[in-house]
Amino acid sequence: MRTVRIFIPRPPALGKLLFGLGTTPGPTPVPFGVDTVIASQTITLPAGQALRIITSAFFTDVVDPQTITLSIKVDGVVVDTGVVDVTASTPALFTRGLITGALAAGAHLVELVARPSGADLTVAEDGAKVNLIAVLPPP
Amino acid sequence: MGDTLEPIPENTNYPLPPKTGQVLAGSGVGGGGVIGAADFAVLAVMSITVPNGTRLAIDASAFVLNGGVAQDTFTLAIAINNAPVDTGIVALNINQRALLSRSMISDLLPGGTYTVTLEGKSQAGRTASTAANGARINAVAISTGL
Repeated sequence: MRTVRIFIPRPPALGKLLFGLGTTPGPTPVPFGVDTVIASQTITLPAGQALRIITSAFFTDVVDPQTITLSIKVDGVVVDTGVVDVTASTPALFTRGLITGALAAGAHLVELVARPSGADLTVAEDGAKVNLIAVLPPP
Repeated sequence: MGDTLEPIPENTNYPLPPKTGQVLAGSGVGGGGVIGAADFAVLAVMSITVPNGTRLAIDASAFVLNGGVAQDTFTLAIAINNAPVDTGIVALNINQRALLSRSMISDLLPGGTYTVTLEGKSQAGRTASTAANGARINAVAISTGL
């Protein structure tokens, strides 16, 4: 009998969670009108796990009232998007999270994307984060 | 809406408790809708079946547009089985778009299936709306080992 070995990531060991923390190392310029990845993180999962995704971003240098479009991408596909208004000279903090469905085994890339509508913005140092926790979807 | 949380009785096929280090999670999203003044409108809904002695860590958020005729205040509530467990009020200027977020951890829950909703109501009789997929309710079951 022939034995075939297939590599499958192991489930988290008991008492441990799979998680990932992605952030920006320094102030990040976000040019207006351009989709810009402001934080990202990759995590490798066993089959059947879901991801609890927690994102947040501090924006500074808001010199004009405008809108910011915020999106979360998983493996390049937009899974969440929305628009917010910001006023001049008001630093803004936005937080948004979601839980995915069951994902295939392997590495997955999660990105937080911002697109200002009216003027360049800046993400503060360590101001944008993508945090991931591997969880089990409901049965 | 009462103060006592009762599990939905139909489903008695409770899952095994999450192993240590593993977490049961569910997510619900709203299809977009109008927040009016008559009653709470459900913006996002999900259900999750949990074992006995579980708490739910709940995250709720909504991209909201005040499409009314003036500034208005809106009540947002997180409810478990139609019982509000978290409520707050926010003010939005006319045509202002905002991302509103709130997190909480529930009391200990008996095993069963629970419906978790994010709901909203206008105070001044005007309307606000959430975009398609603009409102979310996420819950993670935390096993307490009880």
